[in-house]
Amino acid sequence: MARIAGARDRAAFGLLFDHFAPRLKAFLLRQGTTASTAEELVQEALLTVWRRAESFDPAQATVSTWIFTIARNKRIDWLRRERRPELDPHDPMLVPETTSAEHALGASEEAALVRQAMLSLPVEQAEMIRMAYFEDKVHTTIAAETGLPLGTVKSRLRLALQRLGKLLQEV
Amino acid sequence: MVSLAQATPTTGDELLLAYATGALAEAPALVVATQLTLNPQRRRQLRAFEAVGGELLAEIDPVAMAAPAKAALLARLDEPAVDAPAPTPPATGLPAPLAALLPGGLEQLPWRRRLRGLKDWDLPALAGGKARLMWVAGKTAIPRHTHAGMELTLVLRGAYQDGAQTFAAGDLQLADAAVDHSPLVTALEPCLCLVVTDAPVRLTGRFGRLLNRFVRY
Repeated sequence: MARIAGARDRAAFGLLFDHFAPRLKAFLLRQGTTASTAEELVQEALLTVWRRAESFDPAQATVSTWIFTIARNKRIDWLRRERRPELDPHDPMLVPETTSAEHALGASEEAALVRQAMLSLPVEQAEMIRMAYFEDKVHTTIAAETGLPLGTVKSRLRLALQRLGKLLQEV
Repeated sequence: MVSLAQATPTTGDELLLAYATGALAEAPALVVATQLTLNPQRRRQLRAFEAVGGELLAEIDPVAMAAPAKAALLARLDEPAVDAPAPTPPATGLPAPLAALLPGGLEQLPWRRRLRGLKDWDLPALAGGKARLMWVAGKTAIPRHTHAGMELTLVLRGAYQDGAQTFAAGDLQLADAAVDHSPLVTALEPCLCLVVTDAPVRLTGRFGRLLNRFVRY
């Protein structure tokens, strides 16, 4: 990433493409995007990665997380023609952290913790989280598709989020 | 002070999760984006939810791109970026996502006076809910009411009390038909809130959902 931002290194960008393009495509396909649209969105997302490479902050996110957020926004732009209200990290109104906790852990340590938490979730809770990311589904849809009662879906997702949230207290 | 995050974590978490995955409609997304500006704890939580997305992306089984895709993208790297920079929002002293939707400062808004000590202003139409700014004078109670659908109330300035709970700047209260309440501004200072009603977590992926029906994982 540093080589792409600093030296505008095309070979490094090529490697990033080789790694992330097929994964982004797979992610978008699982979200129900058609293959041709997925290809188009991957192109748009990675073009943004190239253009905004210098704004990537390794303290804030891993490369994978950063690319996830860019692709998510491209998909929203494509699905809706509306402007999505978004947090502006340079907003003068931003209320700062009261402690130095914001970057107590680096993004990669944080990613490792998240990975650990995902692995430690009971299978059925992890599945709820996956459905939330891959399929944009609300409770009622998940309930209908899994055949689980709505209350069960709600409590599983709630438990999964609580568990992840608890982990974040340590971040 | 009890913030909503401590009182009923699930619903606020689910809103933030939907924001992180991209499933949230415009009106509730405005509430979340505005709250993120005011609430660093929520920003940490968002970073973690986005990290979950990053992990899911990192571990997914790749699907090969069409053969010419890479060359096509490399050929586009020198294209000038066409992204128009977002216009600078008016100086309102409000978080940028919200300020971007205001025609000017708070003083110039065509407020509607509702009751003594209570006025509001409707934001431009947004998808997924009706948004308005609500201004309540100090030492004023809002008449008891309940809600037909979901109501999200984000405190921008000042604070209000609802039962035993206090909601201060950056706190979000979620209320539905089960909630029958009479919030009260106890301090002398007025309280300014962003209120979105009938804003369920809506899917963005209409087209995608249609396709999802035919695809099982």
